[in-house]
Amino acid sequence: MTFKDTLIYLVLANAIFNMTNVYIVYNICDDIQSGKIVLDLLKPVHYFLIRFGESCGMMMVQFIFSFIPSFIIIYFLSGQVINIGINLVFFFIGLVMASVINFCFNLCFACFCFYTESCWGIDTLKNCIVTLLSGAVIPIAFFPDWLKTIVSFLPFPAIFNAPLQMLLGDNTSFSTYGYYLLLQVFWMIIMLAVSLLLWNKSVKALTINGG
Amino acid sequence: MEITKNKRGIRFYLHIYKMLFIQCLKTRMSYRSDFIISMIGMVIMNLSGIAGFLLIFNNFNTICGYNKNELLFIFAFFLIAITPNQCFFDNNWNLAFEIMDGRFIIYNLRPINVFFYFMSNNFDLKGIWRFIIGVSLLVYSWINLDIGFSVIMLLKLIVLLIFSSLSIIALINAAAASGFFFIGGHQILMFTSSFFDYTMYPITIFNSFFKALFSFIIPIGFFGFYPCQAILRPENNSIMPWLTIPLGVIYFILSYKLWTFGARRYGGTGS
Repeated sequence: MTFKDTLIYLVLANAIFNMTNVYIVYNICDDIQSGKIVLDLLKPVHYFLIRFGESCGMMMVQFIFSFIPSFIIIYFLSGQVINIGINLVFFFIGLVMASVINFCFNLCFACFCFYTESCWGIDTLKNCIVTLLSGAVIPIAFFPDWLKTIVSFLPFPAIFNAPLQMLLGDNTSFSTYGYYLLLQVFWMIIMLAVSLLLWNKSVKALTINGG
Repeated sequence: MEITKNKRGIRFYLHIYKMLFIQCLKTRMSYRSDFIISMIGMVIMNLSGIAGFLLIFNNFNTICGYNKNELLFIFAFFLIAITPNQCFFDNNWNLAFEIMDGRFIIYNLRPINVFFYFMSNNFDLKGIWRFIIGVSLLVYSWINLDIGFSVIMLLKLIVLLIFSSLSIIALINAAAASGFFFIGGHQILMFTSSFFDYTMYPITIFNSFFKALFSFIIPIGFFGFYPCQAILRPENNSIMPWLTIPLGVIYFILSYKLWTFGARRYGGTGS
């Protein structure tokens, strides 16, 4: 990748990271520590849907006020090398799926909070892992090979790399789009299953002070 | 009606601080696993910073004339310098929430210095890990750099550490004090602290606009790069490391004035 391509990739990956970083883990853990989670568990809607709706709203605000300005600025600063066409539509679909995968990934971490009652620690752990391994801070091309293979088994390429490749990639054939979209659907199903399983197990271990 | 103010000395403030400190520690210790996981989280956060740093150096040998060990030295200096801010002034992160809830008015109603009372309400024990990792990294890079060791160098380093930590405290204070004037105070604080990621790189990689910005307005240059010039490049004899001392004091006084101005002006939320 040339310097300009790497720069555009890094800026946009960082923008996606900031858009999807809506403190899901911290809010859930805070609710557990204060006991407010009981109110949400008693509602007739599944807890996932409540939290997902909340985080969707926050992500939409971040998208409009943070991602779109960053995109416009990097588009003009890089001399308009990003092609505007049908790849924007696919990029948007990819972003929506990436936000679902990211949400499920965050929920897996939030399940640990049921056992440890720790707020900041779990959130920081998740943030460290995501910022280091997702390629949002240092492009994956700079990783040593053994780390690249490890990262390919984690959902991060589906969250950050897939939408960006659909936007910036050189071969814009439908087979490339299909490949990345299928990858995202695959990870979405896996993360949903894992997070639901972990959730059902952890919610039984919940202890709340009465009152 | 005049309220006569008794002159309260250092002993009084130290006594109050000790009581609040013990209270804070007891609260933390009651959540045992939270305490342990926070400590582990802090260590992992620092280690991942170093890991990211090493990943970059997997591909390049020098950045703008500074090799890996010199930049590790600067990073270690920064980790030690940020410890006082992390440990003693950590309550700044709660300032925005306390302002919005209206709980901050309590600090205004007590007959004690608002800034002192607010900051002593919270002591962050996990900042100690930044100090430990910083010192070990400093020793490691000092040995690898082959610049020799003398007591004069150590004394210079300690003096520069004290004054650059004053600048760090000043920056965070000023960012948190924006919560008194704007609603999004927490976001401004987070944005400012995200600049800390850039302290380990030499300021010379930026062009002149950003160099000036990062040297004097958001002075991240004085958190690590410029003070370390006194040790890493003593032959340059530049004035920049020693500017840390007056600038640290000036920034701290300015940010303290801004913080107390905002605190005095705070009207509460009426609850």
